[in-house]
Amino acid sequence: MSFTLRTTTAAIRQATRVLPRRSFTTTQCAASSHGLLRLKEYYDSTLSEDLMTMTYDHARAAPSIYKYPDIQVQIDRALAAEEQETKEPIAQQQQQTVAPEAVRTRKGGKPVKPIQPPKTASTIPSLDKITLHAMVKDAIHSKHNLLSAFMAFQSITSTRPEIVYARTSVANWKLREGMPIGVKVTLRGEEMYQFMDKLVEIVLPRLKEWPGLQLTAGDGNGNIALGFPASALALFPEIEGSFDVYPKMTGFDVIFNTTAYTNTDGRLLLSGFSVPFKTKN
Amino acid sequence: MVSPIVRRTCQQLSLQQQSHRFTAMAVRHASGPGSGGRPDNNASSGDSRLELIRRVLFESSAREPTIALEGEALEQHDTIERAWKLHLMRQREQRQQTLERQFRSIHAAMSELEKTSDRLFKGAIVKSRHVTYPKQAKIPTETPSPQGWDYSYKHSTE
Repeated sequence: MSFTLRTTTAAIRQATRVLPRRSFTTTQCAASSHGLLRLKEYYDSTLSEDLMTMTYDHARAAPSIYKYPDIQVQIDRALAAEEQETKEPIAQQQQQTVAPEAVRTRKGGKPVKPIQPPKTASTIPSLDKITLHAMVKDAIHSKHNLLSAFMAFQSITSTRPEIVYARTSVANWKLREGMPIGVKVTLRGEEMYQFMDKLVEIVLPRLKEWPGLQLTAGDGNGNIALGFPASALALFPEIEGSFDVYPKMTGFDVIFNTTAYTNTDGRLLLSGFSVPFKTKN
Repeated sequence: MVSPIVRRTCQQLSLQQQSHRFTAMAVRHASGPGSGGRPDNNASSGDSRLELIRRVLFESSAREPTIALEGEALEQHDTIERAWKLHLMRQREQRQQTLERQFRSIHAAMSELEKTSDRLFKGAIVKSRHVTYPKQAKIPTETPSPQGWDYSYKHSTE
């Protein structure tokens, strides 16, 4: 019975020629200039080439640098196949031993640091994502205290934040597991560059008594974090105008996740984006 | 420049994500633990701003889609979308090829130098990697500064 129904509906659709339809909304655009992104264009045109030159290390450059990689790969495979034919009986015994890089462990089962790959044109340090995070202590006794930070983050970044829930319970602070305790935003791509632009041009120059990031900044893997006091939130252009709407300003931290493998490269990248560092002069 | 139709689709996607999160948030908010969440507590504390913020964030009505494309218009839209993405892809590939060409030339130059002169090669290798980009290298702006060019600038020497 249903089978015949389906065939008749298909026949009707064919007869009346119902076209595919797609609906769009005309919502407010993200609060920023459309089209080209200043920092992204700067990175693509100038900064990436400079960083490639400044981070170049001849001892660690990738050995295979081919202009026609697909042809070269075929040649390499043919050569490797030839070598294997001659060395086959001896090589089998040697290949059974596991290479040291395959299994890397640390005492206590701690996470192992990633190995820096050889330098190529594809391993230039760049901004991967920016994470904004605020822990609101007042949310312990009333979760409505998170609303101000939530709204503030949404205004600054034009992305919907997510709530951070407590992972463990701490009796001293009356914290229970699963309790909403913080707000977090992860920015990538266009929104990330817009936020970075605002930060670097407007917020950081207006911070009081801040000489810049330390030259030892970094988490060991090229990511750099920065903490802001509550007064810094008022410096953002979106919040500056309607200051009174937010009952409670919270401090927050900004984490720059980069594709750099070392702190030096991460710092070099950020200083290229005009983030001030505390240099001697 | 981003085409308006491209911008609209991006908004549509962001709205979908937003509406999904909006419903998720609204549900969580409604079903969360009632510790201090009673409306009496907030109203009595005098912070009606929080009530306003809560309404704005979680109780704004979802917007209905206003544009509906079908048939030829839809085809045109899809063609423009694909053309724009193709353009971006080509730009990206061009950039990547430029970088690879530059890298190859640096590598070739250093290899050549290594064979030519040992002293010069050692001089060309970077000694200290703990450098930062110069502060004077500002990111280019669309308009010049209101102060104009600073002719009396002097680079501070160590």
